[in-house]
Amino acid sequence: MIRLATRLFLPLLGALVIAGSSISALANPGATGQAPSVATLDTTKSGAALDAQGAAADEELPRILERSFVASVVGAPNAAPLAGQELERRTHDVGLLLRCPVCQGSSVADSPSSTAINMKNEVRDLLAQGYDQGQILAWFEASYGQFVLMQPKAEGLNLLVWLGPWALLVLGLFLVLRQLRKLGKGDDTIADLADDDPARGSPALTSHNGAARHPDTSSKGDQHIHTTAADALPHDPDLEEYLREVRALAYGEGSGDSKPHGPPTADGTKEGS
Amino acid sequence: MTPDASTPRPTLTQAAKKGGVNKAVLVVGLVLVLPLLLLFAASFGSDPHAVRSPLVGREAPPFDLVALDGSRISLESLRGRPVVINFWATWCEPCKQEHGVLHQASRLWGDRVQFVGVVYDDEKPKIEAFLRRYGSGYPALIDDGGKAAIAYGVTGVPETFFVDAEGRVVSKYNGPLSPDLLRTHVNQLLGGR
Repeated sequence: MIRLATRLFLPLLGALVIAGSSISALANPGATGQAPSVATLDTTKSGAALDAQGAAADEELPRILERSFVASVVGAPNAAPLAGQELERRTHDVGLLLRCPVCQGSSVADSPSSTAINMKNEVRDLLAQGYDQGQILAWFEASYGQFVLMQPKAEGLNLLVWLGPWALLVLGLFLVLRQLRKLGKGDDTIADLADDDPARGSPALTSHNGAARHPDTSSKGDQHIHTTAADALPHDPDLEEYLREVRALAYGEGSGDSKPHGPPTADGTKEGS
Repeated sequence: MTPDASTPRPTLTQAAKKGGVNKAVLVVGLVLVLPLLLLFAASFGSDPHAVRSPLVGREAPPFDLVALDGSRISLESLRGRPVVINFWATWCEPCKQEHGVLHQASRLWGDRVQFVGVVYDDEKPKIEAFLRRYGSGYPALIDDGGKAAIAYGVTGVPETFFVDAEGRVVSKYNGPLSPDLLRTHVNQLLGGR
């Protein structure tokens, strides 16, 4: 009987002691001053590690997917991965080249919107992976189209934007130069007329008050040229004729002829007619 | 320079008609103005926000996002069925109206088309409240950091992408979908079936 009791009691006691020590070790491994059982520790550790690995894999999977898709669109990174201040500086630079899609004409670098912040983070991420500026712009362009680029590409209709202002500038310069040359030619003609035939009585030598003047007799040469340039007859025979006609209507009959002319005098007669 | 007296003089009006237009100025003016007029003519009547997505006809960008219930859903896992991907947000007023249309459509075509909502720039409690109020017929995925929105070139919400069973983007629509518009896009997605 005693033997039976001993056989039953001792294993039970042993089991209780082992269980108790195991429980206290689990609850507070350092309290007993003994190392917890290796089996228990290993089991706990490997479970946590597996969970952590699983969570990390869950976190990492979208990144892997995204990276492989970016690589399929723009190829493998061309540059060295950036970090620190250089990474921030380049993120800002590239952000300046990207349009914030929810803003009115702001770049990603300049906009405080959450979309722009997300895009800036994407730029930072890609630079940190080693993608260069061209690849990053190409990646955004693949999603958003050229609309996302602050500087449109110089191709197709966009050439209007790039070349239009220069073409207008050249055209403007050409027109200004042509006008200046015309004015210069006009002055020469007047001077020639004045020198060659002072007695011709052409309107070129006639001021608005009807007094015929000669360049040599004018004390104000510049004013004289200005005044006569307005009255000079054009070289176009048709236009010359019409100008005479208009002058005749304005100043009276005979004013269109190659005679000195002028406004009506006080007694109603026409000076020079 | 005096014209022949026998030649009848044209009147001033006739002269203006004859030589009134400088051909060079006319040509230069037309060269400058015509392209602009053509550009305006081509753009009039079109929605300036309706920028054609460069993704149409290409492989849809993959995603692997956490749904509101904690499960993960990737585009790859939906391969084999046409997918309607709707980017939306609780703070977007047109999304509320569109949500009802999509909800009904998911009931109608749910056996043939997978509807997925990607919530853009939003918070989980607000999303849950929204879906409690307006109903939830398909998964709502949370796009933390907006990476999926960037990959899809989303410029605002709502925007909807129609992806065929092979994973190619068939069409895209900016703005709230009406029942008719949705039917048109889904029919196109199903190949007229």
